Amino acid sequence: MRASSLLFITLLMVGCVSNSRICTVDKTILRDTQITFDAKSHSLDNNDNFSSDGKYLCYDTRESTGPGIEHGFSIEVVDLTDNRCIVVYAPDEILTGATPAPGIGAVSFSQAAPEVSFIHGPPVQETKERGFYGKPNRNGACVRLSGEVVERNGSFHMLKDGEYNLSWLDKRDVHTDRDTEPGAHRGGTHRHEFCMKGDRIGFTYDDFLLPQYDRTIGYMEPGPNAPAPASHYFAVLVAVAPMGQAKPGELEKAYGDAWVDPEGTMRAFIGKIRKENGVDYEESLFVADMPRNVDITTADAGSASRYPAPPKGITIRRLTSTTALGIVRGAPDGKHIAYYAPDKSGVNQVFMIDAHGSDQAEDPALRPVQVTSLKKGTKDGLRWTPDGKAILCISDDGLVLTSVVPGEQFGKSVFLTEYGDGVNRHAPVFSPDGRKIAYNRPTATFDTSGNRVKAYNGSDYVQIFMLELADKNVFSSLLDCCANK
Amino acid sequence: MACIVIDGVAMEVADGSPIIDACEEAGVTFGCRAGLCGSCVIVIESGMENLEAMTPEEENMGLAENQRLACQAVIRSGTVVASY
Repeated sequence: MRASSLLFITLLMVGCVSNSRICTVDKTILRDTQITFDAKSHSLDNNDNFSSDGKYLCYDTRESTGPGIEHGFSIEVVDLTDNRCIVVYAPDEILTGATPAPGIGAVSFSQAAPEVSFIHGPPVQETKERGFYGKPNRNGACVRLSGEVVERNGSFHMLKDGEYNLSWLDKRDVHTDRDTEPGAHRGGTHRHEFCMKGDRIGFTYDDFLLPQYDRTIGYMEPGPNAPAPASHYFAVLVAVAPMGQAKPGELEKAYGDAWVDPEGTMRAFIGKIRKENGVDYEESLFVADMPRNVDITTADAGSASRYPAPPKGITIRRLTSTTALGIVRGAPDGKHIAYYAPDKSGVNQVFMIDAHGSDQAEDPALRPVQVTSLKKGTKDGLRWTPDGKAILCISDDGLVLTSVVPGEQFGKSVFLTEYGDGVNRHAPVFSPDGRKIAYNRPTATFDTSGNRVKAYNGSDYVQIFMLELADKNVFSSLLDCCANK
Repeated sequence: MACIVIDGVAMEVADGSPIIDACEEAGVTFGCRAGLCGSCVIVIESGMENLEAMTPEEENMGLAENQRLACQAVIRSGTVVASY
């Protein structure tokens, strides 16, 4: 049954559209394989889903029994050696409906250790004190993939000493009668992303005590000063003004963030900034420089009347003065940042810029470069190939790869899947060796009796598919077929 | 007036002018517009002699003998036929 689902797609003229930069691929063979089948959704989200050895792929189960991460009930991995789905964490108790808890999801692999980070809302037993799931009511959690895989009630679970191997990354400390505990936060952390080195974790942050502040970004580091029971010390990276109160040039929101360099010393993000006219806002590309010698314990954790402040030594650079959109992505070597921005026609395309560049720079090499020229544009799925030679994105529901190798190849695109067919392909992610792309799409799903089953809202469950080259090449080599026009 | 023909689309350009705007109107796409990325490589089918000499950026790009960068090339006069 599953073997028959193996679908070989021969891409013959699939990229043939009016724009001559969208090249066609002759007789290029890709394998597009469905790798999950269970009656639940398997959400990759916008995370680092592959383990560093390429053996596991992590996902969450949101949108199965109710909307959003708040109804995610397990963190799982696919063992890609046998396509077994293994639960690495599931809470003991779950609340659903209008008052859900805890809510878990947005899981990312560390590339330095066999562990995953993810959002964990309030445990059910803490809801009387903390309330139910909400953006400003979340922690970062971690599961180390060790222990044994056991079968229980027809599903596989990874357990250590009979328990899921859960630990808390950060501490939530909400009090109005005293300062927030140093190294703790008073809200919710989200989309925890390890830097390649593995120690620093970037995330977005929503404050609970001062809800007049919009979302910002932060980072955490492990160390002896981390407030128990957390393993990491929390700090915001960007000080934002209260909503509606920013002066010209001040930021009111930071989001869409990602690591730029493997060392974890630059965090790129989209900032919502007040324009010089003091009325309007624009959203542009920024970088938070966070050298390794920054002492995270110099951050101010804040109080009920004082928003948290970044550590000393963090500086913010603005790279674009026009509209930029995220989630942004740093190149594997950390030298460039890819982001979305409107082209001359107002269609969103992929752009890239030197990590130390600016659209105001005199040196053209430091200014933004338009990468794609896609007829339907793009606003999702941005990923660099691991060798840094091409950028993947989603356009017109298809996965499309575009070369960033300087020269004749630059800007040429090739569709890797069908497109324009209304199939919601999303959340693509490369394997570390650049030979596979996992992605999500809603797919007809059947239970063990052969009955078609659907998610809570009547839509098909989201399953994981894997695009793989039939030969031993990496995906960026596909652009070689475009060498001859 | 000089003339640049890109993929069969003919555009008039003032003698001694850059061809970038005409090429963009004819459908050439540009990345950096500074001779660094190579997105705008065009193949000159005839009239190479009607273009000014290559800029340092074009020379650094390692182009073939019949290629030019649309963001860099300047037309002297006459007609240049190119494909993209």
